[in-house]
Amino acid sequence: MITAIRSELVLLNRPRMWAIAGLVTVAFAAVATSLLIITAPSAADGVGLAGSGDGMPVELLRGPGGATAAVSWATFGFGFVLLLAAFTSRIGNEFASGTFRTALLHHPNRWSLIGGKMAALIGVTIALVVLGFATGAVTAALVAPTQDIDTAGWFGAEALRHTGADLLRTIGWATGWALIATALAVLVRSVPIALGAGIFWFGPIENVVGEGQAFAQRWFPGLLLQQVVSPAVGQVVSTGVAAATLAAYGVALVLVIMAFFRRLDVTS
Amino acid sequence: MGNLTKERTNPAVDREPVEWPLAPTGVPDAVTVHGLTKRYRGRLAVDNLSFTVPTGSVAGLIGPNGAGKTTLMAMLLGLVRPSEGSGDVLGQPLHRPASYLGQVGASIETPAFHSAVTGVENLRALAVLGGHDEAQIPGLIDRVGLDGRGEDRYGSYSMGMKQRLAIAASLLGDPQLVILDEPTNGLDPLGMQDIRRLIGQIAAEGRTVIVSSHLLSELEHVCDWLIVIDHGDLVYLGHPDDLASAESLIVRPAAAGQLPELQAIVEPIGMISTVTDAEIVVAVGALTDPKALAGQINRQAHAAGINLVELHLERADLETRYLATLAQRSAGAVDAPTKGQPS
Repeated sequence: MITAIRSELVLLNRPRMWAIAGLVTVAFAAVATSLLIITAPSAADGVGLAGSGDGMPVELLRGPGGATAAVSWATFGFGFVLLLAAFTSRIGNEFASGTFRTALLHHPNRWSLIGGKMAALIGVTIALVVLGFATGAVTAALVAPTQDIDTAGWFGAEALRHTGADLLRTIGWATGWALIATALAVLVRSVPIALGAGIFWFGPIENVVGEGQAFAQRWFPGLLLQQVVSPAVGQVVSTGVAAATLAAYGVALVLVIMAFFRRLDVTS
Repeated sequence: MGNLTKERTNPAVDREPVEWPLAPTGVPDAVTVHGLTKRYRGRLAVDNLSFTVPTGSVAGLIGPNGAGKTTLMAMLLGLVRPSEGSGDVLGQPLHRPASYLGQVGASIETPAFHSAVTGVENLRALAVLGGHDEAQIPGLIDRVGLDGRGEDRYGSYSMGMKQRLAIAASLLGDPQLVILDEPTNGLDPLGMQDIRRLIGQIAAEGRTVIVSSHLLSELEHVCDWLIVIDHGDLVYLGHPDDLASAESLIVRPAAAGQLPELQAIVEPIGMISTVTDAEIVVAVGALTDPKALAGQINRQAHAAGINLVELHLERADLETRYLATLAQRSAGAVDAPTKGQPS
């Protein structure tokens, strides 16, 4: 799998790619952080912490995790669409354009090949998440004082631990979405269909059907991911149960991909 | 589902392997397959194929569109799982492609590389993936005629350049067996000549080459072994010279205006290979007596008031012989695969 990771990095590790992805990440983190801080309502105004539809509560910005609270809030809220788009298009295009076929001629171990590609993409995603968090923290430090938000708790060991935990949760969350998007791309092998199905299911279906439904909160993977990484949002199941369910989903997904992929005739 | 119940009468499976003195005695064939079959949801793409490719040969894989050429190559390359059958590639079992693909270079279907990345970077990625030496990349770029364009984005390449890059990729790792699927597709005549020369060079280095093409004249110049398939069946296996008859009958009327009428006479009795603005070329099948055929055409043309100024036999090109073979097959004259013998 190491050769597959290195090979994918040869393709990804280009100045143009980093420039575009970096600029998008910085812009997203800076704009989202600024807007969320400026428009953050206070609990005193009657907005609860679970009120995701009403913006990020200003209380989340106070205390040790405040510096990266806005960027992680924005990432968990909208980032899944970007991840779905990035992974389904990258992996799906490999099938559609025939580059996967070309790669298989040089690396016939299919599971290792797809695993390596996914791992390399996750590595790039993590680098961009770190960049986004850094941008979000700097932006928050600049914008928060203009909104009279106390930033005293943002610095120090506790703040660093908090930020590290946020980062790890985000990486886990990104890996989960990467796996879902890769599974969609491998099983469907069409970028528009995989992306359309993903956004349709994880957007309106999960969130409309899941609105106030205990069943959906308990079993729908997108909502479970949200609950694991963002426990502050209304919790139907415990974080541990959600994580265990997601782990079971992940194993099942990997097994399905492996079985499917092993028997797949690569004809395009 | 009718295809599935097709009677298995392909005697290629039962016949002794063709012996052809291409490789030194004792050297195993580069490719040997037995009863290779592929069905896609009931559609038979390759039907019970058995053949060998001698080590060191340049084997041409010929067949009409949809004959199963690409599916056959994909099975040899582990991209497509055979529904039935077995075989060996470079002495390793066909069902374990990982055991031999390190020694096989291939380009199958249209060239497929990452369009946002340069040709050299694409080759680098594949070299890393296959554990090949990256130092050979500049030499390969030069060798396939992409010198000066290797650092350009693949997306900016013409079809001919893409084909060249695909051939360069197939040579990564110094493979013993090179499989090329329609490598001259999209190339101009000069490009075709380059590729033909390149294939000759690859073979001259002692590698075994399997190449498919619709342009039979291209294969004629480089191949010393032919695998002809049609509708998934093996039609011919052996040396190109032994494919059908080696002769064509050239029929030229005194007046070019009589060509359509002459064509109408010839069509029912002979396989027309080519009609130019002055003459008709008739492929002479292996089971046809060329003199009898010439006499029949002459008599019927005379009866129709057409004067022939030319009626002679000449050595047929590969395309003519290929068409004659297919015609005989469809007419039932050849209901079994034929195998060439050393001449």
